Amino acid sequence: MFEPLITMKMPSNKLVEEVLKGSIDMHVHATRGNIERRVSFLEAAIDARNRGMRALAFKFLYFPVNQEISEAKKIVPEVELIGGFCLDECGLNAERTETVAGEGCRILWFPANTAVNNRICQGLAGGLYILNEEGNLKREVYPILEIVKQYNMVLASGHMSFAEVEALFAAANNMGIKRLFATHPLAEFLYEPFTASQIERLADMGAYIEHCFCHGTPRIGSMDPMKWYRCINTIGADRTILCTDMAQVTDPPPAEGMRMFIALLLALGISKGDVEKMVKMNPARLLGLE
Amino acid sequence: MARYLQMLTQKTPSGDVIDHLWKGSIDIHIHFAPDPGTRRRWDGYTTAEEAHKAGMRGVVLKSHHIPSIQTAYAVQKIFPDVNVCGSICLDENMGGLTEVGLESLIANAKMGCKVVWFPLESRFSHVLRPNLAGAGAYILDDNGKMLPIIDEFLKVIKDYDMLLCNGHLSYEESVPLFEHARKIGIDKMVATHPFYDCLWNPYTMEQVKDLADRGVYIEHCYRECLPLSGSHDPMEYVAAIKRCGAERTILSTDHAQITDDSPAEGMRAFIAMMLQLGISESDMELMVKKNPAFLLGLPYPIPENEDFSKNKEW
Repeated sequence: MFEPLITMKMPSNKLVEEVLKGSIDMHVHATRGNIERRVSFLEAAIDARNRGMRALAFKFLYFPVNQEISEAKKIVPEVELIGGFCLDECGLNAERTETVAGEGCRILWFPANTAVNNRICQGLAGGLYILNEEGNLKREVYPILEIVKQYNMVLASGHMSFAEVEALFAAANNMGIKRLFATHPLAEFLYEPFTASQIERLADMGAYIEHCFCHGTPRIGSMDPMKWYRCINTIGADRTILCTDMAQVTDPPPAEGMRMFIALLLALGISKGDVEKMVKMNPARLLGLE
Repeated sequence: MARYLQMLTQKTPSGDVIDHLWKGSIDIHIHFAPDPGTRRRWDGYTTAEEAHKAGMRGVVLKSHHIPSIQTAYAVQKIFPDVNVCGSICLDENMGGLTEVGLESLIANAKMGCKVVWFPLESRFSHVLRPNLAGAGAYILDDNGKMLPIIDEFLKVIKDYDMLLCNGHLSYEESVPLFEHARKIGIDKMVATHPFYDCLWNPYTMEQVKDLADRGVYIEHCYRECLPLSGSHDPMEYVAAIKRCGAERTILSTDHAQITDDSPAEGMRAFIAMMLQLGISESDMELMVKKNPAFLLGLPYPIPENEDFSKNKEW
């Protein structure tokens, strides 16, 4: 049984909507081609506009999505729509990174579904691993980081292991890459969710720590929301960003997920000011929207 | 982790399959705003509006404190394509299980109320709360026999062809309740979320199976699986469906707290999750469409162009 249920103080609809207004979701999935999600780019954008959200960043694992985004922007100019690219299909490919960066992609995710760390959990062998046998970054990672620096992109950790992420961020620190994003380190589908001290270490390296609402939904295993709560209290709202990682075809639309996430954290007793930092100020700063 | 893996190995259903089941579904368990017990997000109007947008066939509005028939009556006129039902919970506010409560039930039945829940504030629902131990409704006497007045309640339910839900009664109370109901000819009976582990010690699988064998429909609610309601493992629903049969099961949401999406969205997520866990489309059809239609006295298959506002003038 979830203890806080009895003592929780539910926020008002008005308060939740105030916080939702102006919020940014940095981790949205939309339908493209034969990859079916709950909403199209345009539907996600319209829904975000109707709720007064400020920006959405789309993560795509297989293709760059700049074209879809520029089309949706014409119809929904009120919402900032941002493209993100993931080094899944193409592997550690600097050339591809440069192409998508030149087309306007602002977030680069390191391997997600193809990361060894992710595949082990699914009982699959092989996958991408960015360290060599000595435990140092593989040589092909550096040209990619050069491009991230050159285009001032957000460097997101994907689904890699802690050892990989720590090495990647250390190299990024040395090169002066400022925008670091540790993606959902508490997610339980990672082979081993990051520990509190590992997450603290990444925050100390200057990374923002991401939590995603979809991991608290029943279809993915109903993660205990107190894990988020405790992590936020340890790391601080100043270094945390809340996203949805939605929507699979089984999920509610992403903007709805964002609202539910905000309501949940307010109900758990996190202050309005802190939630606003995590859904407005911090993502704006990381994306350079200020 | 184990649970995530369970989900991961299943095939994600297509949007078309989910939406086909969603359309025409009926949710018999929805809490709405305003509610003196807690803050809620969706009122009777917005609940029905979302159901209407989804193409759902029906919603039952429930409140622990106030009969919902008047809200349902007004909202029904705005959304004639959604069967908006009122209900009554036989709690203290309604007079409890007394002569006064009986009068409340009759009054509601006369206004068209079709769904009755036995008390939510029951002795059984307080077992995990030491400060409330011993308090709350209990329908058996010291010898384990059902209190005579319960017969009177059941007669009204029978006379007005209402749906009998056991609310938060224990298994030991539910057996004589449903047995007696069946004896006098009540065929619309629901065991309300028997696995709910947030408030009480859940019914065992054997108890649930026993009630199903006595002709009771077993209700499972999506909200129980949400983190703030105890993250109930949905695999237990899957097991119960296999044990009791989809033809004896209904799925509803028990939405919505302030932290939830709309009841309609909750229904969709529930359908999607159960498909993902391997329940067949035809079984889902029974549990979200056919069985709840029977329990609310609606025809099945669904006739075209239904207008629920027409037959609800009273």
